Amino acid sequence: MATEARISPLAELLRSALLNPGDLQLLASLRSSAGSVLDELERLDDDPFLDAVEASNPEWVATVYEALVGEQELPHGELIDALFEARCTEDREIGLAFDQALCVSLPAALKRWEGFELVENSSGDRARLLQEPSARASEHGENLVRFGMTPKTVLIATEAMAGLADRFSRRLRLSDRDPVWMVNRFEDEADQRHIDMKLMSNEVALAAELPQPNAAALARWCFEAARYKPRLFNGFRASCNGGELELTRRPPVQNLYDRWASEFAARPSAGVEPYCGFHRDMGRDI
Amino acid sequence: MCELAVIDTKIVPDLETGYRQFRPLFFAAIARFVRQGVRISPADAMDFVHDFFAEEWQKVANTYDPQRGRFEPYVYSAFVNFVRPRVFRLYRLQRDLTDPDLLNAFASRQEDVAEPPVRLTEFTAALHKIPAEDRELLLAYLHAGRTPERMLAREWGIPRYRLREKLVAALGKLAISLGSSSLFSERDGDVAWVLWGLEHSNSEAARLLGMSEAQVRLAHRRNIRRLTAALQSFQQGQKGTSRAPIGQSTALQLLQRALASTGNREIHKSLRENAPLVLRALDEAGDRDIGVGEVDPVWCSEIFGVLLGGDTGLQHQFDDVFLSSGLADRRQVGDAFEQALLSGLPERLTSIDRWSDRLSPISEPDYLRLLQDPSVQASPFAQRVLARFGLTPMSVLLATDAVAGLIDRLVRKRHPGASGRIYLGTSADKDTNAEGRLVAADMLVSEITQTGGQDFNASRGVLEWCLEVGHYKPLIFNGWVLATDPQGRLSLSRTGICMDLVARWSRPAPERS
Repeated sequence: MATEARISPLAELLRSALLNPGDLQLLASLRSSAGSVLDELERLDDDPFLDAVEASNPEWVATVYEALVGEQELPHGELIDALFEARCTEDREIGLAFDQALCVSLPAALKRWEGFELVENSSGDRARLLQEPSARASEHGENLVRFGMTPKTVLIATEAMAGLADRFSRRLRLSDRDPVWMVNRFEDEADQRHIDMKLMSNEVALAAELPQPNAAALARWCFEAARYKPRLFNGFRASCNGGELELTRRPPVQNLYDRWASEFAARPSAGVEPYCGFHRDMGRDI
Repeated sequence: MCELAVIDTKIVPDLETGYRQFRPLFFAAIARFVRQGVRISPADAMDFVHDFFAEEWQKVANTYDPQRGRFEPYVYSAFVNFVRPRVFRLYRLQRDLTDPDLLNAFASRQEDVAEPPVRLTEFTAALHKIPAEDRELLLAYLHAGRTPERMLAREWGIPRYRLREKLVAALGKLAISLGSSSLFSERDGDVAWVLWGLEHSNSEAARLLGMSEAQVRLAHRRNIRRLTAALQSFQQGQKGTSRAPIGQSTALQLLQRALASTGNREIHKSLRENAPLVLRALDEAGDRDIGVGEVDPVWCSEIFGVLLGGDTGLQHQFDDVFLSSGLADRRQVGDAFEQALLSGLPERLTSIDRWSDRLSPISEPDYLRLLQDPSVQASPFAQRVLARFGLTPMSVLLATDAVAGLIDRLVRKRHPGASGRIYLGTSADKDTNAEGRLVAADMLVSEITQTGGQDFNASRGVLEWCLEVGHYKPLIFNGWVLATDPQGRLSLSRTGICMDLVARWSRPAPERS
């Protein structure tokens, strides 16, 4: 769509601020007229900022957006930070991250668990599971509890499968660069570097305390989901190769939003230069 | 959450007051997501804010319990939870479906790729197989001309970012509906299916199809261009032309004349005006020979590009949507090229003679066009030398990535998990030897050609230059270190580390004793 060649002075101010990283004077001007700039944004029919956002680095764009808060104090503090994190130890956060990160961009069939031959649970168990915080926080909770699972069960299964891969790798004394392979089949004489579906389902059954048919289905679901969510198995990066997943060691990602939103850029930790100012995918392995 | 500096009130404000009060704070929340690497324009950010108030405010107001804390932190948290999945979807859209990434620099080159004309009947049938709403959206988008996108979004009653999401989804459905149509080559059709049908990411598609990620992106870009062109052609066919229509035989004669007059671009206008008729006449001619003898293949693809609407304003509208990002990346590639890769190279590698000995210069208009490329603008050497031969710093980066990707795939295929050395042979060598560790240069050149889109000769020129540069910058190929063994053979070994481009291209070869 075409953008207007001429834009209003207020829009131009915002555009200039975006295009001039480090220009504190522009930032101050923007801050002092933040309300008017926001009003102007509402009036715009075009988006004259796309190229400016693209040309600038994310850290600076974020700083410009913070200037639009005006003279108000920016929200900050541990509780605000916590909103942007989902910890494995907080059941409710697991449920939220399951919906807002893991299920986003998964194919519809996976989201609906189609074709996984799950066995339904008794109604008594369902009522109990529905009270679990991770199920209550998730719109998918109701569907999962029908099969005796909650978002937390899914997390436990992924942790179990990652642990299995870790033990495999250590037992074979593989270096960190050498991958292990998960295969979506049962192998009679498994390649020593292959983790087959039987091993995975047994591991999931033990860790998630699920009956075998549902444990097998959950293991297979995780296997399929890892094709879209390469950091699903914490401590590894999965890449798909036909019916196999190649797992290569990577630093663990603790924030479930980052881990489950696929390769969403990891937030820099405190004291680290926040943005390398370079191509997002190039030379960086998240 | 007591640090939120907002008026402490236990009364939930009405929508309008809430909107004025919280709108700035929500921009602060969006800033947090931007820091994580998602490109959110201020206009999209404002749309997120609107959507929140339209869809969630009432619910938030109803569920708020003053006994559990203040309203401001509650609404801030509700906004973050509302926006997060939308941000992640936007990220996926940018990353896999619309991000042109490395390919913008080759935008105009793609016009030169021969694009098979799809039969209008086949296309029409495919278009009618997709849901009516998607079809209407695609056509409305094309029909909108210079209507601002947000206005179009308003007409559809959805925010702009949703319009784009729906547009991409609709194009995907159309691509799947076309299936094995002649619109796509077999390989590009596979890419369309894996990206749109199976909803895989670029990297997964690359692995599934045995391609590099750059090739997947290139194929995806070709697919979008073809779909756009075919849609445009369809729409023109619907509208008819302003002039009196010409007959089938005249349409074929026009095409014959155009194909036979290589370089005569005056015929473009007439072809464009009669494109639907010419395409229909071609459809009806089927496999029958239309009596065109030897035709220059480049000219032939240009003519079909015109017929499929390759250079009109409507094409650019779609480009705006699909290709509006990536400028900064290309500029940074140009910077890295100039400041890191060229630094410390001997003069013979940076002189124009080095290139003019091997490659022919491109035409002046093409050269001037290439000077607009951000990666070229960032590099005086590229302006002075590379662009003269139709190349850019992006070409060099794509070429090195193509080589690295091919070697990686070969090693995985032949020696999964191996971390040993790979030797680069000459064009006379086979691609395998007893050890299976020799890769012929021709194979690399083909890979570069497929990835970058330039011709074989230019690809060879780039490869030879890169291999020479590799003596001084051994990490030129991502993930590999280039070395020369005592027998003078070039070899690549895995580095096993990931570095950013500037660091990789700056790293000099160790001093030789």
